[in-house]
Amino acid sequence: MIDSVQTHKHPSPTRGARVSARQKREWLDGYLLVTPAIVAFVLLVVYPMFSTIYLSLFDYGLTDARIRFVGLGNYIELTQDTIFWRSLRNNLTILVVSVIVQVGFGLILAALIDRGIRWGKGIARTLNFAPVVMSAVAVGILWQLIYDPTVGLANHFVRLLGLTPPSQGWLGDPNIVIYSILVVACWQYTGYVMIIILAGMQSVSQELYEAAEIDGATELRKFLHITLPSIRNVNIAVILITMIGAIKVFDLVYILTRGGPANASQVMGTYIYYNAFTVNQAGYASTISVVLLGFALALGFLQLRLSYRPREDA
Amino acid sequence: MIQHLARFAFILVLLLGVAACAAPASAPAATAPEQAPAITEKQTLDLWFNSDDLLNQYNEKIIAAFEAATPGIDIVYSPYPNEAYKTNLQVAIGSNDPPDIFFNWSGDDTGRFVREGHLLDLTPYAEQFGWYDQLSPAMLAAFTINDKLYGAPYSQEAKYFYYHIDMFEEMGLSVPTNFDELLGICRSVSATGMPALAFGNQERWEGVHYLTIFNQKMAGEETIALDYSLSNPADVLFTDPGYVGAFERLLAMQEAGCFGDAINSTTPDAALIQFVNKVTPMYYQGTWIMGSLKENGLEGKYGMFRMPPMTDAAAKGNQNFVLAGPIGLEISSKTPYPDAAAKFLDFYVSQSSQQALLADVNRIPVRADAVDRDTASPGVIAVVDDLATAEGTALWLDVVLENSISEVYLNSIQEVLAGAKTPTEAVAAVREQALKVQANLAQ
Repeated sequence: MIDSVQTHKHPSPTRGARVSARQKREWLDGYLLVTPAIVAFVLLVVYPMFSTIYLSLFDYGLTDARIRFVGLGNYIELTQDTIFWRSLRNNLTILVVSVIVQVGFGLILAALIDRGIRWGKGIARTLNFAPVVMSAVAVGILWQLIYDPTVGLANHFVRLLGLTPPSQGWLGDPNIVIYSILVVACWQYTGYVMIIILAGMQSVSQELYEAAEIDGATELRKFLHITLPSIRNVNIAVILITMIGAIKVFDLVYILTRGGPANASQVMGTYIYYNAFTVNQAGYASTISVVLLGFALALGFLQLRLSYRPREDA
Repeated sequence: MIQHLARFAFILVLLLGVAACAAPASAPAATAPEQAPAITEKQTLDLWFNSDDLLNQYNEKIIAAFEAATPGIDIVYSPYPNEAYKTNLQVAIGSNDPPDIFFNWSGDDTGRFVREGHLLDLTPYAEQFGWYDQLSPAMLAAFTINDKLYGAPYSQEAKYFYYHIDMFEEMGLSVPTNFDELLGICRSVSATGMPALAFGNQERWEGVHYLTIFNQKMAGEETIALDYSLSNPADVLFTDPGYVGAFERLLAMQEAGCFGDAINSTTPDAALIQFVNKVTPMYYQGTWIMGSLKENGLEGKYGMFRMPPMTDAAAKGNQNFVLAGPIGLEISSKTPYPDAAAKFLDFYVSQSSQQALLADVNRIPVRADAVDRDTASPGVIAVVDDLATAEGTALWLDVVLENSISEVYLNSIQEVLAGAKTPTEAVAAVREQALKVQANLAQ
């Protein structure tokens, strides 16, 4: 890199040609080193992505030989599909609630562990992070038992509070089922958000806090004026991770309700699965996948835009 | 020098990797794909099953016995739970490497695979092995499409009300002789503060079983046969008032206190536990739970009865039908070893295997010579006798109907039970989907 700068400052044909040959070798080495990653990326991401876009223009099933070109027919059908709109609405509900609850609580918990409590930080961190390391299947089965209308803890707890549990059950009432799932999602992933934010908080320079203390700043002011601005990029990252997670959620919904009752908790992920594997409409499932891809790409683009800051030395 | 060597080694590894990726596509071309396997070759068959723990033990025993009897054939057994099985089979059957032998239901599940060319015609094997003389003709007929047999039935599944004899005695209840009496039992039991029936409709199939028999009893077997096969003209399709009446009967049961709260969030497993633990005195469930009841020490302590007849004038169907259907094993049309696979099927439905099926897991066999009345459980004897008196069977609705129509039915039942849809709206939704499918098929 130093050589290349020197080349610009002192152009000489001999030296330039020598550096150029070296540069070529470096490029070749570089390309060779990234080739396996590029091959894997093309085979596992780019090819399936374009293949899905292409297949979304067809009517076909996984088990039969029919394959009929329908052009944008699947996309037009999608606009009139009430279950798709319900899935999208559920995804957006999960997105909004997850950002508020997971990032909100994650931030509060991280702040408490970072500067709010003196003892038991390790235990608090472990307890909050424990659900993250459990598989979604295990979490789903565990919460299915908690929500069980006959023997579940949820009903027992609600009765202890003097309230009446929902008569159709936590996972059987179309009006509350998505919120019941959200409780599980927040329980599982808030600890994850907390750990990332906590890592960001612990990288904030202590000198800033000491200076603020000398100026007589309260803990709240320190949090608002030092901590939050210092972890801006971390917060943007966790918000976008949470949003992308909410858009592509599948496992918890599938384990807990399979999109039921009567499609009330259907999300795009489960609706893709339903179309591909239950009603054998793989072309239509590809169409929904393309829409899902569009959302994920848009959020990814947003993440890049928001977290981008021009380098100060540039 | 070291750098050059490292670079050369890296390029070599990369090229080998690419070659390895490309190899599977070109490898088959180098061999003779149409060549029949040599007789001495070890033949390995993949067997996929929709199975529970009890049936797994039985299957493993049968497979071991088969492998011991036929040393040249190996069976690779892959059991799956119900929901996972349905999905995995859909994916596998459309691939180039489907299981050689697999469990399937009769009805449209088999019909669709036949239409799509995935199943081996078993008629020559049935004739060779004498299945037409040994197995129940009705069970064979359920797997016969266009005069060709596509599955070897191995068990008859039927749906009955199970009841705890002691609870019925304590409550002064007796087996109902008609549907109104059943509602009366529900009212009596629910007055004591407990639901009369265990009912777990989270997975939706328990609810559709009620609708299956109600549709037959209300709309009649001729009407449902034409509607389910989409043979009725568009202006008639699913317009019979019996379909709405069927949903109304389900609601009548709910209103009479037959079911508890939260049925749409109760799993069938949880419902079974409720019945076993006497949280409810009755459970409407298939004969496949008889093994579990035996395991839980309830052998001889429960009674069974069929969905009782409807006596009102609106009920147009034959009231002596039973909700039942056979299950069987099918062979993929892509198997390289059809003879070996058929040999396994013959072993699976042989007298000794069927006797073991009855003894080990309390499943209803499909051959009369497998039922030993002296040793069989009272429940099995009761079912065998009852099936013999039935004038017909109503096959599971979700199995008979085209998939997307079946899905509308499954969801509508949940919605009607949750009060989110009326019976008329539910049937309208079914008709709308049926018309759509009928129009697509006509294209």
